[in-house]
Amino acid sequence: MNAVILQDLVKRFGKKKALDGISLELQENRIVGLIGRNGAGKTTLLRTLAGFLRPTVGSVLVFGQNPFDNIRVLSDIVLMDDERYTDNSDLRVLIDRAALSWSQFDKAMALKLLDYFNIPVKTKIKKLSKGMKTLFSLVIALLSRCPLTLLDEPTLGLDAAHRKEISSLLLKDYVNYPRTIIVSSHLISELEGLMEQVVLIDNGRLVFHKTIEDVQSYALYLTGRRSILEEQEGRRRVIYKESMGEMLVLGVVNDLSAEELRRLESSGIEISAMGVQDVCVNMTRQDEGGVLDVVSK
Amino acid sequence: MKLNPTDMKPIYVQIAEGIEDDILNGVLEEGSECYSQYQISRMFNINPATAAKGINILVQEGILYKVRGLGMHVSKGAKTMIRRKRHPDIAESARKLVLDAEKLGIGRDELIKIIRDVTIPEKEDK
Repeated sequence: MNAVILQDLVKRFGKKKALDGISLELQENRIVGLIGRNGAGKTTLLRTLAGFLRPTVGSVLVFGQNPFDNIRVLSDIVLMDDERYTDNSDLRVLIDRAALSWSQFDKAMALKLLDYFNIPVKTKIKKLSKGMKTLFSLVIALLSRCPLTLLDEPTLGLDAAHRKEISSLLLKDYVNYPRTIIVSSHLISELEGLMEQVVLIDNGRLVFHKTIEDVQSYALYLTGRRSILEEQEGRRRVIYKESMGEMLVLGVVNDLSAEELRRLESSGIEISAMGVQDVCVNMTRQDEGGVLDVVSK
Repeated sequence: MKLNPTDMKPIYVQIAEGIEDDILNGVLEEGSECYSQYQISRMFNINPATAAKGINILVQEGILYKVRGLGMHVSKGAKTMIRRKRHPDIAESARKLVLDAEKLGIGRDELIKIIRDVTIPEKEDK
C-alpha cells in the first residue's frame, strides 16, 4: 500500500510557487530521504503532508485520505517542526500534550531519552539551544510512533556525536516499530545509510525519486587528461566539470558499459563513484558559474 | 567486514562481499551462524532492508542458508563456492596492477619478479 500519493501538487505563497507540480508515490514502511537545497520546498512539502497547508492545485493523499483539516488521518501523522512550539511552555507541558495527541506516544521512553541528552524537562522551550531544541523535537516526533513520521532537518545544529546517536536511535526505533519515515535534509552524510529511497527536489520540482542504490550508481567522476576526456564530454550527460591546467574532472551520468569503462581506465582515466551526496549537489546546481565567480569579479 | 560509501559498488553488494571475505578468512566458519540483517544494520547504521538485500544474494547463491528460528548459517562448501565465483576478480586486480606498473615504467617481466618476491608474514594460528 502507498503511504503517500501526490498528484501535480502545487503550493503557492503569493506569487512564489513553493511547490511546482510534484507527483510522487511512496510505499509504506520505508525510510525516505527528502533532499534539496535551502528553499527547494522541503518544509512546504512536509507541512502539506502533515495537513498544515492546503494545496493550491493538485492532490495529496496520506493513507488514502486528504490530510488537510482531517482529524481522522492527522492522528497518524507527526511532523517534527520547531515552529509548532510557538508558546513558551515547559517541556513537561509539551510532553503531556504529545501524549494527548498521539495514543501510541511512549512517554516513559521520551523522558529517559531527554534525561540521557541532559535536557531538563522543567526548562522552557525557548531557553533551549538550537541543538537541544532539535533533540527535543526529534524525541517527541520519533516516540509518537506515527505511521507517517515526518522529520524536518533532524540533525540541524547537532554536533557530530549527537548526529551519530540520532542516526542509531532512528534506526533502532524504526526496526522495532516499522513505519513510513520521511527525513528531510540538505545534507545526507550520516543519514545516507538509513535511507532506502531518495526524493530529490529543486525549485519546487521533483528532480528524481530513486532507490539509494540507484542514486549511488547514478553518476561517475572521470579524472584525467583533457585531450582524452573532451571527447567524452560531447557523448555524455555532464553534470559537473572542473579543470586545472591539462587535467579535467568530468561528472557524467553513468551509462557507460563495462567495456567502455575499462578502455577509459586503460587510457589513464581515473574513474570513481560520485556518491549520493555529490549526485544530489550536482543535480541541483545553478547553471551559471558558482559563488567563486561572484566574489572574483 | 567494512563498508565504503564512495565505492563504485552498491552497499548491499559490499555487504555480500564483506560476509564472503569473513568466510574466506575464517571469521565465519562453515556451518556456523552468520550475522543477521539487524546486526549488520546496527553495526554500520544502515537500513535493515539494505542489509537483507546483501544477505539474500548469498542465500540465492547457496553460500548462506536459513535455519528456521535460528537465522542464517554458512553452508558447507561455502569457501569453495566463493573461491570459484571470485576467481575472475584476480584477473581484474591484475589488470589494475599492470596499469599502475606501466605508469611507473615497470614492465611485465619486472612486475612478475616483484610478485614472486612478495613476502607475507606467516599467519598466526588461533
